[in-house]
Amino acid sequence: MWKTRVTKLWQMSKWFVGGGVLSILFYDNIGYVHTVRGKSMAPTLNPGPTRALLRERVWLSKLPYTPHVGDIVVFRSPKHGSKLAMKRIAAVGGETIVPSKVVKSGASAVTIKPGYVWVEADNRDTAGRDSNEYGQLHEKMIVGKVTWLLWPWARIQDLRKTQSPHAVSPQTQSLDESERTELVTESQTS
Amino acid sequence: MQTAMVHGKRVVNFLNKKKREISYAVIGASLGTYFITSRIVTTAVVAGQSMTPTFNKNSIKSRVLVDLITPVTKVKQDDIILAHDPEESDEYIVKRVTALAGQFVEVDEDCGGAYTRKYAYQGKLTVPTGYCWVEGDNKSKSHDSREFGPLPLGLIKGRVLFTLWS
Repeated sequence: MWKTRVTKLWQMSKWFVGGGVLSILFYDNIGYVHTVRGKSMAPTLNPGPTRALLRERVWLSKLPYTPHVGDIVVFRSPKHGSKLAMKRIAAVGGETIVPSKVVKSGASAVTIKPGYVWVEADNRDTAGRDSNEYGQLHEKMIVGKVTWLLWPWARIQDLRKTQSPHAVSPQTQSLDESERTELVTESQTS
Repeated sequence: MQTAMVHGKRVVNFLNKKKREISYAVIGASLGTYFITSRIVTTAVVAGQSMTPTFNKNSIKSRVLVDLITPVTKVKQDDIILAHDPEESDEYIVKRVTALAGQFVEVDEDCGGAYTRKYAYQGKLTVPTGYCWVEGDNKSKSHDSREFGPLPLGLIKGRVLFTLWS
């Protein structure tokens, strides 16, 4: 008696169950739309007004990923195990980097351990909350790579082609901070 | 003659239909299994001696069931967890959570017999928010938070529920 009931229930719901499983598999392995919170990635990504519909949304790719410098990634925050954060990778395992917050005091370089990365906010005015504060980030904390800005429509762009506004080309590295800023401003206006 | 041909065609159609049904079943089962083992529960084989006698007693590797659903914020003290190895990105570790964020940990030297083992994280410290402190049950043979420091909660994959067989 109950066997026919169960069969009937399955007949009716198998499409929902199947669809649900496929959606979750897609979400876990292909990607999903992620909402940008916070100003730490301005001006590349602005949260804008806090009204939900106007917040910027990006495509977060969950395809197999190897960290590269310049990638914008979403990762589990080392400060709050359950919250997600979004920053740009400034250095990967094996590389050495001078942390941006310490550049004025002429500070020590940090060598990134294999399996770790160094992330920094595009917006240098925000109070830490990147590797300058919590140090190297373990690769497996990375949830996915941000590929496209999808919303608002007017700002649609391929974010993979963007660079940190503070990225310096090799020939400017020997100059001091003030000369470097001049050069960057020049190239922006030319 | 004609009846034989019609009958033959019916048999072929029947076989094709069965082949299709079997393919759907195989694909459905594969996706279903993948879904379950990536999101709900999975099994893991415990390597090494760091968790004896809880696991791997008598050098037989224990196979355990891991719960992947419970959110990382609900991890409690004394839970055994499966996590990404903080030192080897592609490896995993199975350890017990001995302290949570905000709790106090005191790491003493291990005075075992002929030598004194000094730990990287010696002395007293408070576990920072977003982290936990893990140690193996076999204190003398475990490479854990006493060596690599607090473990970020984000590296935890799930809680070990029980041993399937050992």
